[in-house]
Amino acid sequence: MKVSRFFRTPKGLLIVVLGVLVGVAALQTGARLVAPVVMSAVCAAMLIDAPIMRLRRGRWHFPDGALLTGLIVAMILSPHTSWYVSAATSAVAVLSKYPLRVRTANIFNPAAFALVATFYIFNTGQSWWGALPELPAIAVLLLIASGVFIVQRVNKIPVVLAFLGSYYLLITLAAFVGDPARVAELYRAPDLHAALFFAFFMVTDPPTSPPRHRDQLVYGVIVGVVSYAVFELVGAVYYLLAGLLVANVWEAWRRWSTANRPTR
Amino acid sequence: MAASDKAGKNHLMALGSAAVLAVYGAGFVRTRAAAERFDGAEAERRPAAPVARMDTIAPAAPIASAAPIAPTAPVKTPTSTVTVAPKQELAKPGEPKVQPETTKTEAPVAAAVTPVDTAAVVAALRDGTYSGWGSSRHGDIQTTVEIRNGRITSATISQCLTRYSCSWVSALPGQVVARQSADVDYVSGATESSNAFYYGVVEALKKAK
Repeated sequence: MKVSRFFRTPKGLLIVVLGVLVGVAALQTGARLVAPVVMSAVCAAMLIDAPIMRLRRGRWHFPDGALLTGLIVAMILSPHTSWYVSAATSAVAVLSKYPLRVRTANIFNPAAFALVATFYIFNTGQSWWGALPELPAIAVLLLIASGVFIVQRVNKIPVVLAFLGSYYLLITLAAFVGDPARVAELYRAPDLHAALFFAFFMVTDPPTSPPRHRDQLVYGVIVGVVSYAVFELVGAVYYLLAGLLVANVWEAWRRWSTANRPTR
Repeated sequence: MAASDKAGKNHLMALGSAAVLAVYGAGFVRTRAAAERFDGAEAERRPAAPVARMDTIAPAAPIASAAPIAPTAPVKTPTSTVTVAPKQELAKPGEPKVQPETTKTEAPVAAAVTPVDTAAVVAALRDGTYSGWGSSRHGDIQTTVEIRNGRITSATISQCLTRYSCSWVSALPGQVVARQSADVDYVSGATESSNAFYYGVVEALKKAK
Protein backbone atom coordinates (compact mmCIF):
# COMPACT_ATOMS: atom_id res chain seq x y z
CA MET A 1 0.00 0.00 0.00
CA LYS A 2 1.30 3.42 -0.86
CA VAL A 3 2.23 5.64 2.05
CA SER A 4 -0.17 8.37 0.99
CA ARG A 5 -3.02 5.88 0.78
CA PHE A 6 -2.12 4.38 4.17
CA PHE A 7 -2.45 7.76 5.81
CA ARG A 8 -6.01 8.00 4.48
CA THR A 9 -7.06 4.80 6.24
CA PRO A 10 -8.54 5.03 9.76
CA LYS A 11 -5.34 3.59 11.25
CA GLY A 12 -3.17 5.98 9.27
CA LEU A 13 -5.33 8.93 10.25
CA LEU A 14 -5.25 7.88 13.88
CA ILE A 15 -1.46 7.69 13.79
CA VAL A 16 -1.38 11.23 12.40
CA VAL A 17 -3.85 12.51 14.99
CA LEU A 18 -2.04 10.90 17.92
CA GLY A 19 1.26 12.16 16.54
CA VAL A 20 -0.12 15.70 16.50
CA LEU A 21 -1.41 15.34 20.06
CA VAL A 22 1.98 14.01 21.24
CA GLY A 23 3.70 16.95 19.56
CA VAL A 24 1.37 19.52 21.08
CA ALA A 25 1.47 17.91 24.54
CA ALA A 26 5.26 17.72 24.41
CA LEU A 27 5.41 21.49 24.00
CA GLN A 28 4.09 21.81 27.54
CA THR A 29 5.23 18.59 29.17
CA GLY A 30 8.70 18.74 27.69
CA ALA A 31 10.01 16.85 24.66
CA ARG A 32 13.04 15.58 26.56
CA LEU A 33 10.83 14.19 29.28
CA VAL A 34 8.34 12.40 27.04
CA ALA A 35 10.70 11.23 24.30
CA PRO A 36 12.12 8.20 26.16
CA VAL A 37 8.65 7.04 27.17
CA VAL A 38 7.25 7.42 23.66
CA MET A 39 10.22 5.98 21.82
CA SER A 40 10.63 2.98 24.09
CA ALA A 41 6.92 2.15 24.01
CA VAL A 42 6.60 2.49 20.25
CA CYS A 43 9.85 0.69 19.39
CA ALA A 44 9.20 -2.20 21.77
CA ALA A 45 5.68 -2.69 20.44
CA MET A 46 6.75 -2.63 16.78
CA LEU A 47 9.82 -4.81 17.27
CA ILE A 48 7.74 -7.47 18.99
CA ASP A 49 4.73 -7.31 16.69
CA ALA A 50 6.58 -7.32 13.36
CA PRO A 51 8.07 -10.83 13.66
CA ILE A 52 4.85 -12.21 15.13
CA MET A 53 2.93 -10.87 12.13
CA ARG A 54 5.58 -12.32 9.84
CA LEU A 55 5.06 -15.75 11.42
CA ARG A 56 1.27 -15.55 11.25
CA ARG A 57 0.87 -14.06 7.77
CA GLY A 58 3.92 -15.45 6.02
CA ARG A 59 5.31 -12.09 4.97
CA TRP A 60 6.44 -8.84 6.49
CA HIS A 61 3.89 -6.14 7.28
CA PHE A 62 4.30 -2.71 8.78
CA PRO A 63 3.11 -3.13 12.41
CA ASP A 64 0.75 -0.17 12.35
CA GLY A 65 -1.43 -1.57 15.13
CA ALA A 66 1.60 -1.93 17.37
CA LEU A 67 2.63 1.63 16.59
CA LEU A 68 -0.80 2.84 17.72
CA THR A 69 -0.71 0.68 20.83
CA GLY A 70 2.73 1.99 21.75
CA LEU A 71 1.63 5.58 21.25
CA ILE A 72 -1.49 5.16 23.37
CA VAL A 73 0.44 3.42 26.16
CA ALA A 74 3.04 6.18 26.19
CA MET A 75 0.44 8.96 26.15
CA ILE A 76 -1.27 7.51 29.22
CA LEU A 77 1.73 6.50 31.33
CA SER A 78 3.33 9.15 33.45
CA PRO A 79 6.19 10.74 31.49
CA HIS A 80 8.33 10.13 34.56
CA THR A 81 8.03 6.41 33.94
CA SER A 82 11.31 4.64 33.25
CA TRP A 83 11.90 3.77 29.62
CA TYR A 84 12.07 0.06 30.39
CA VAL A 85 8.73 0.13 32.22
CA SER A 86 7.23 1.91 29.24
CA ALA A 87 8.73 -0.66 26.88
CA ALA A 88 7.55 -3.54 29.05
CA THR A 89 4.04 -2.13 29.19
CA SER A 90 3.74 -1.89 25.44
CA ALA A 91 5.29 -5.36 25.11
CA VAL A 92 2.58 -6.76 27.38
CA ALA A 93 0.02 -4.90 25.27
CA VAL A 94 1.18 -6.40 21.99
CA LEU A 95 1.62 -9.90 23.41
CA SER A 96 -1.89 -9.84 24.92
CA LYS A 97 -3.40 -9.62 21.43
CA TYR A 98 -2.48 -13.14 20.38
CA PRO A 99 -3.44 -15.68 23.04
CA LEU A 100 -6.72 -13.97 23.96
CA ARG A 101 -8.85 -14.01 20.81
CA VAL A 102 -12.39 -14.72 19.70
CA ARG A 103 -12.73 -15.51 16.03
CA THR A 104 -10.27 -13.25 14.23
CA ALA A 105 -10.03 -10.39 16.73
CA ASN A 106 -8.33 -9.91 20.04
CA ILE A 107 -10.61 -9.77 23.08
CA PHE A 108 -9.05 -6.96 25.06
CA ASN A 109 -7.97 -3.51 24.08
CA PRO A 110 -4.19 -4.11 24.22
CA ALA A 111 -3.23 -0.79 25.79
CA ALA A 112 -5.93 -1.01 28.46
CA PHE A 113 -5.00 -4.59 29.32
CA ALA A 114 -1.31 -3.77 29.64
CA LEU A 115 -1.82 -0.60 31.66
CA VAL A 116 -3.96 -2.44 34.20
CA ALA A 117 -1.53 -5.36 34.34
CA THR A 118 1.56 -3.21 34.82
CA PHE A 119 -0.18 -1.13 37.45
CA TYR A 120 0.18 -4.20 39.64
CA ILE A 121 3.56 -5.30 38.30
CA PHE A 122 5.41 -1.98 38.22
CA ASN A 123 3.17 0.42 40.18
CA THR A 124 2.90 2.44 37.00
CA GLY A 125 1.34 5.85 37.29
CA GLN A 126 -0.96 7.28 34.68
CA SER A 127 -1.03 10.96 33.87
CA TRP A 128 -2.77 10.92 30.46
CA TRP A 129 -0.38 13.71 29.41
CA GLY A 130 -1.15 12.99 25.76
CA ALA A 131 -4.73 14.15 26.33
CA LEU A 132 -3.38 17.70 26.76
CA PRO A 133 -4.44 18.24 30.40
CA GLU A 134 -1.49 20.50 31.12
CA LEU A 135 -2.25 22.91 28.31
CA PRO A 136 -4.63 25.86 28.64
CA ALA A 137 -8.30 24.87 28.79
CA ILE A 138 -8.84 25.83 25.16
CA ALA A 139 -6.67 22.86 24.15
CA VAL A 140 -9.53 20.57 24.99
CA LEU A 141 -11.13 21.77 21.76
CA LEU A 142 -8.21 20.29 19.79
CA LEU A 143 -8.71 17.01 21.61
CA ILE A 144 -12.46 17.04 20.88
CA ALA A 145 -12.01 18.05 17.25
CA SER A 146 -9.43 15.35 16.57
CA GLY A 147 -11.51 12.81 18.46
CA VAL A 148 -14.72 13.59 16.59
CA PHE A 149 -12.80 13.43 13.30
CA ILE A 150 -11.57 9.91 14.06
CA VAL A 151 -14.84 8.69 15.58
CA GLN A 152 -16.77 9.72 12.47
CA ARG A 153 -14.28 7.86 10.28
CA VAL A 154 -14.70 4.62 12.21
CA ASN A 155 -18.47 5.09 12.61
CA LYS A 156 -18.44 4.86 16.41
CA ILE A 157 -20.33 7.96 17.52
CA PRO A 158 -23.01 5.97 19.40
CA VAL A 159 -20.48 4.20 21.61
CA VAL A 160 -18.82 7.49 22.52
CA LEU A 161 -22.13 9.15 23.41
CA ALA A 162 -23.33 6.10 25.34
CA PHE A 163 -20.12 5.96 27.37
CA LEU A 164 -19.90 9.69 28.10
CA GLY A 165 -23.64 9.91 28.81
CA SER A 166 -23.79 7.01 31.27
CA TYR A 167 -20.48 7.89 32.93
CA TYR A 168 -21.28 11.54 33.56
CA LEU A 169 -24.89 10.75 34.45
CA LEU A 170 -23.75 8.48 37.28
CA ILE A 171 -21.13 10.96 38.47
CA THR A 172 -23.63 13.80 38.38
CA LEU A 173 -26.15 11.75 40.34
CA ALA A 174 -23.41 11.02 42.88
CA ALA A 175 -22.62 14.74 43.10
CA PHE A 176 -26.25 15.60 43.84
CA VAL A 177 -26.98 12.68 46.16
CA GLY A 178 -23.66 12.48 48.01
CA ASP A 179 -20.63 14.66 48.72
CA PRO A 180 -19.76 16.70 45.60
CA ALA A 181 -16.11 16.82 46.68
CA ARG A 182 -15.75 13.10 46.00
CA VAL A 183 -16.36 13.54 42.28
CA ALA A 184 -15.44 17.19 41.73
CA GLU A 185 -12.23 16.44 39.92
CA LEU A 186 -13.86 14.12 37.40
CA TYR A 187 -15.31 17.19 35.69
CA ARG A 188 -11.99 18.97 35.42
CA ALA A 189 -8.51 18.59 33.98
CA PRO A 190 -6.86 16.15 33.88
CA ASP A 191 -9.77 13.76 34.46
CA LEU A 192 -11.98 15.38 31.85
CA HIS A 193 -9.22 15.10 29.29
CA ALA A 194 -8.57 11.50 30.26
CA ALA A 195 -12.24 10.60 29.82
CA LEU A 196 -12.40 12.29 26.40
CA PHE A 197 -9.18 10.71 25.16
CA PHE A 198 -10.39 7.36 26.43
CA ALA A 199 -13.78 7.78 24.75
CA PHE A 200 -12.43 8.89 21.38
CA PHE A 201 -9.36 6.72 20.97
CA MET A 202 -9.78 3.64 23.16
CA VAL A 203 -13.47 2.84 23.52
CA THR A 204 -13.80 3.09 19.75
CA ASP A 205 -11.00 0.60 18.99
CA PRO A 206 -12.48 -1.24 15.96
CA PRO A 207 -11.26 -4.80 16.69
CA THR A 208 -12.60 -4.84 20.25
CA SER A 209 -15.81 -2.78 19.95
CA PRO A 210 -19.03 -3.71 18.15
CA PRO A 211 -19.78 -2.40 14.66
CA ARG A 212 -23.60 -2.18 14.91
CA HIS A 213 -25.03 0.96 16.48
CA ARG A 214 -27.40 -0.88 18.80
CA ASP A 215 -24.56 -3.00 20.19
CA GLN A 216 -22.40 0.10 20.48
CA LEU A 217 -24.97 1.66 22.81
CA VAL A 218 -24.92 -1.36 25.11
CA TYR A 219 -21.13 -1.51 24.97
CA GLY A 220 -20.76 2.20 25.79
CA VAL A 221 -23.14 1.95 28.74
CA ILE A 222 -21.22 -1.06 30.11
CA VAL A 223 -17.97 0.91 29.91
CA GLY A 224 -19.52 3.91 31.66
CA VAL A 225 -21.27 1.98 34.42
CA VAL A 226 -18.32 -0.30 35.21
CA SER A 227 -15.85 2.59 35.13
CA TYR A 228 -17.94 4.47 37.66
CA ALA A 229 -18.39 1.34 39.80
CA VAL A 230 -14.63 0.71 39.87
CA PHE A 231 -14.05 4.37 40.75
CA GLU A 232 -16.46 4.10 43.68
CA LEU A 233 -15.65 0.61 44.91
CA VAL A 234 -11.98 0.06 44.15
CA GLY A 235 -10.68 3.59 43.89
CA ALA A 236 -7.87 2.63 41.57
CA VAL A 237 -6.11 4.62 38.92
CA TYR A 238 -7.32 2.34 36.13
CA TYR A 239 -11.05 2.78 36.65
CA LEU A 240 -11.73 3.82 33.07
CA LEU A 241 -9.58 1.04 31.66
CA ALA A 242 -11.29 -1.54 33.88
CA GLY A 243 -14.64 -0.49 32.47
CA LEU A 244 -13.32 -1.01 28.97
CA LEU A 245 -11.92 -4.46 29.76
CA VAL A 246 -15.28 -5.62 31.12
CA ALA A 247 -17.03 -4.31 28.01
CA ASN A 248 -14.41 -6.12 25.90
CA VAL A 249 -15.47 -9.37 27.54
CA TRP A 250 -19.13 -8.64 26.75
CA GLU A 251 -18.25 -7.92 23.13
CA ALA A 252 -16.19 -11.12 22.89
CA TRP A 253 -19.14 -13.09 24.26
CA ARG A 254 -21.47 -11.37 21.79
CA ARG A 255 -19.16 -12.21 18.88
CA TRP A 256 -18.75 -15.78 20.05
CA SER A 257 -22.47 -16.35 20.54
CA THR A 258 -23.23 -14.79 17.15
CA ALA A 259 -20.70 -17.04 15.47
CA ASN A 260 -22.02 -20.14 17.20
CA ARG A 261 -25.72 -19.38 16.69
CA PRO A 262 -27.33 -22.39 15.03
CA THR A 263 -28.31 -21.74 11.44
CA ARG A 264 -31.65 -22.87 10.06
CA MET B 1 -35.46 7.40 2.28
CA ALA B 2 -31.76 7.01 2.84
CA ALA B 3 -31.41 10.77 3.16
CA SER B 4 -34.18 10.96 5.74
CA ASP B 5 -32.58 8.08 7.68
CA LYS B 6 -29.29 9.95 7.72
CA ALA B 7 -31.00 13.14 8.85
CA GLY B 8 -32.77 11.22 11.60
CA LYS B 9 -29.49 9.72 12.79
CA ASN B 10 -27.86 13.13 12.75
CA HIS B 11 -30.68 14.50 14.87
CA LEU B 12 -30.23 11.66 17.33
CA MET B 13 -26.49 12.30 17.51
CA ALA B 14 -27.10 16.02 18.10
CA LEU B 15 -29.66 15.23 20.78
CA GLY B 16 -27.29 12.77 22.43
CA SER B 17 -24.45 15.27 22.41
CA ALA B 18 -26.69 17.93 23.93
CA ALA B 19 -27.79 15.52 26.65
CA VAL B 20 -24.19 14.64 27.52
CA LEU B 21 -23.28 18.33 27.68
CA ALA B 22 -26.28 19.11 29.88
CA VAL B 23 -25.46 16.32 32.33
CA TYR B 24 -21.80 17.33 32.40
CA GLY B 25 -22.72 20.99 32.92
CA ALA B 26 -25.05 20.20 35.81
CA GLY B 27 -22.35 18.15 37.52
CA PHE B 28 -19.69 20.76 36.88
CA VAL B 29 -21.78 23.50 38.48
CA ARG B 30 -22.76 21.28 41.39
CA THR B 31 -19.11 20.48 42.19
CA ARG B 32 -17.64 23.93 41.60
CA ALA B 33 -17.53 24.92 45.28
CA ALA B 34 -15.79 21.70 46.25
CA ALA B 35 -13.22 22.10 43.48
CA GLU B 36 -12.52 25.66 44.60
CA ARG B 37 -11.93 24.44 48.15
CA PHE B 38 -9.34 21.99 46.87
CA ASP B 39 -7.71 24.69 44.79
CA GLY B 40 -7.56 27.02 47.78
CA ALA B 41 -6.00 24.41 50.06
CA GLU B 42 -3.49 23.46 47.41
CA ALA B 43 -2.50 27.04 46.72
CA GLU B 44 -1.87 27.62 50.40
CA ARG B 45 0.46 24.64 50.71
CA ARG B 46 2.17 25.00 47.34
CA PRO B 47 5.40 26.99 47.26
CA ALA B 48 6.21 29.19 44.32
CA ALA B 49 8.28 26.55 42.58
CA PRO B 50 7.35 22.94 43.20
CA VAL B 51 10.28 20.61 43.33
CA ALA B 52 10.87 17.76 40.96
CA ARG B 53 11.97 14.89 43.13
CA MET B 54 11.95 11.85 40.95
CA ASP B 55 15.69 11.64 41.09
CA THR B 56 15.46 10.77 44.73
CA ILE B 57 12.46 8.51 44.85
CA ALA B 58 12.12 5.14 43.22
CA PRO B 59 8.44 4.27 42.81
CA ALA B 60 9.02 0.57 42.89
CA ALA B 61 8.32 -1.42 45.99
CA PRO B 62 4.99 -0.83 47.70
CA ILE B 63 5.33 0.68 51.13
CA ALA B 64 4.74 -1.54 54.10
CA SER B 65 1.52 -0.19 55.38
CA ALA B 66 2.00 -0.10 59.11
CA ALA B 67 5.70 -0.49 59.67
CA PRO B 68 7.40 2.69 60.77
CA ILE B 69 9.81 4.02 58.25
CA ALA B 70 13.32 4.53 59.44
CA PRO B 71 14.36 8.12 59.52
CA THR B 72 16.40 9.09 56.54
CA ALA B 73 18.17 12.28 55.86
CA PRO B 74 16.52 14.39 53.24
CA VAL B 75 18.37 14.16 50.03
CA LYS B 76 18.24 17.83 49.35
CA THR B 77 18.58 20.43 52.00
CA PRO B 78 15.59 22.57 52.75
CA THR B 79 16.11 26.19 52.05
CA SER B 80 13.15 28.45 52.42
CA THR B 81 11.17 29.00 55.57
CA VAL B 82 7.44 28.81 55.39
CA THR B 83 5.07 28.19 58.24
CA VAL B 84 3.02 25.04 58.21
CA ALA B 85 -0.29 25.71 56.58
CA PRO B 86 -3.21 24.29 58.49
CA LYS B 87 -5.50 22.04 56.59
CA GLN B 88 -8.52 23.80 55.24
CA GLU B 89 -11.98 22.50 54.67
CA LEU B 90 -11.32 19.42 52.67
CA ALA B 91 -13.39 16.45 51.79
CA LYS B 92 -13.89 13.98 54.60
CA PRO B 93 -11.35 11.23 54.42
CA GLY B 94 -12.24 7.62 54.36
CA GLU B 95 -13.29 6.99 50.79
CA PRO B 96 -10.81 6.40 48.03
CA LYS B 97 -10.92 8.83 45.21
CA VAL B 98 -9.33 8.31 41.90
CA GLN B 99 -8.15 11.05 39.73
CA PRO B 100 -5.22 11.20 37.40
CA GLU B 101 -2.41 13.21 38.85
CA THR B 102 -1.19 16.03 36.74
CA THR B 103 2.39 15.46 35.92
CA LYS B 104 4.73 18.10 37.13
CA THR B 105 7.33 18.81 34.58
CA GLU B 106 9.51 21.39 36.13
CA ALA B 107 13.18 20.74 35.84
CA PRO B 108 14.62 19.37 39.04
CA VAL B 109 15.88 22.14 41.23
CA ALA B 110 17.75 22.05 44.45
CA ALA B 111 15.10 21.65 47.07
CA ALA B 112 12.67 24.45 47.60
CA VAL B 113 11.23 22.69 50.58
CA THR B 114 9.38 24.55 53.17
CA PRO B 115 10.35 23.92 56.69
CA VAL B 116 10.02 24.88 59.43
CA ASP B 117 9.63 26.56 62.64
CA THR B 118 11.05 23.33 64.01
CA ALA B 119 11.70 24.53 67.53
CA ALA B 120 8.18 25.78 67.93
CA VAL B 121 6.74 22.56 66.59
CA VAL B 122 8.86 20.24 68.72
CA ALA B 123 8.57 22.19 71.92
CA ALA B 124 4.83 21.90 71.91
CA LEU B 125 4.54 18.15 71.27
CA ARG B 126 3.33 15.68 73.87
CA ASP B 127 4.64 12.11 73.91
CA GLY B 128 2.44 9.47 72.34
CA THR B 129 1.26 8.10 69.03
CA TYR B 130 -1.04 10.22 66.93
CA SER B 131 -2.80 9.68 63.63
CA GLY B 132 -4.21 12.11 61.14
CA TRP B 133 -5.91 11.98 57.78
CA GLY B 134 -4.76 14.10 54.90
CA SER B 135 -6.95 14.71 51.90
CA SER B 136 -6.17 15.73 48.41
CA ARG B 137 -8.10 15.72 45.22
CA HIS B 138 -6.43 12.43 44.39
CA GLY B 139 -7.32 10.60 47.55
CA ASP B 140 -6.54 10.37 51.22
CA ILE B 141 -3.59 9.24 53.32
CA GLN B 142 -3.60 8.43 57.01
CA THR B 143 -0.33 9.08 58.78
CA THR B 144 0.78 7.97 62.22
CA VAL B 145 3.39 9.98 64.07
CA GLU B 146 5.17 8.83 67.21
CA ILE B 147 6.49 11.41 69.68
CA ARG B 148 9.12 10.59 72.31
CA ASN B 149 10.70 13.20 74.59
CA GLY B 150 9.00 15.88 72.59
CA ARG B 151 10.56 14.75 69.32
CA ILE B 152 9.12 12.96 66.31
CA THR B 153 10.71 9.52 66.42
CA SER B 154 8.79 7.86 63.63
CA ALA B 155 6.29 8.67 60.92
CA THR B 156 4.29 6.12 58.99
CA ILE B 157 1.79 5.98 56.18
CA SER B 158 -0.77 3.84 57.97
CA GLN B 159 -3.45 3.90 55.27
CA CYS B 160 -3.07 4.80 51.65
CA LEU B 161 -6.27 5.55 49.78
CA THR B 162 -4.81 7.54 46.95
CA ARG B 163 -5.05 6.82 43.30
CA TYR B 164 -1.39 5.82 43.16
CA SER B 165 0.60 3.41 45.21
CA CYS B 166 2.07 5.23 48.19
CA SER B 167 5.50 3.98 47.15
CA TRP B 168 5.60 7.21 45.15
CA VAL B 169 5.80 9.15 48.41
CA SER B 170 7.66 6.55 50.45
CA ALA B 171 10.57 8.90 51.13
CA LEU B 172 8.37 11.48 52.82
CA PRO B 173 7.91 9.84 56.26
CA GLY B 174 11.68 9.83 56.70
CA GLN B 175 11.75 13.54 55.94
CA VAL B 176 9.24 14.20 58.74
CA VAL B 177 11.58 12.60 61.27
CA ALA B 178 14.71 14.18 59.86
CA ARG B 179 13.19 17.64 59.75
CA GLN B 180 10.98 17.26 62.83
CA SER B 181 8.28 18.87 60.79
CA ALA B 182 5.38 18.18 58.47
CA ASP B 183 7.11 20.11 55.74
CA VAL B 184 8.16 17.53 53.20
CA ASP B 185 9.26 17.77 49.61
CA TYR B 186 6.92 17.58 46.69
CA VAL B 187 7.25 14.53 44.52
CA SER B 188 6.98 15.18 40.82
CA GLY B 189 4.15 13.20 39.36
CA ALA B 190 2.72 12.71 42.84
CA THR B 191 2.16 16.26 44.00
CA GLU B 192 -1.32 15.51 45.27
CA SER B 193 -0.18 12.46 47.21
CA SER B 194 2.57 14.61 48.74
CA ASN B 195 -0.10 17.09 49.78
CA ALA B 196 -2.28 14.38 51.30
CA PHE B 197 0.68 13.09 53.30
CA TYR B 198 1.57 16.58 54.43
CA TYR B 199 -1.95 17.31 55.64
CA GLY B 200 -2.06 13.95 57.42
CA VAL B 201 1.09 14.80 59.39
CA VAL B 202 -0.20 18.29 60.17
CA GLU B 203 -3.40 16.75 61.51
CA ALA B 204 -1.49 14.22 63.63
CA LEU B 205 0.84 16.89 65.03
CA LYS B 206 -2.13 19.05 65.94
CA LYS B 207 -3.35 16.26 68.18
CA ALA B 208 0.08 16.07 69.81
CA LYS B 209 -0.04 19.66 70.93
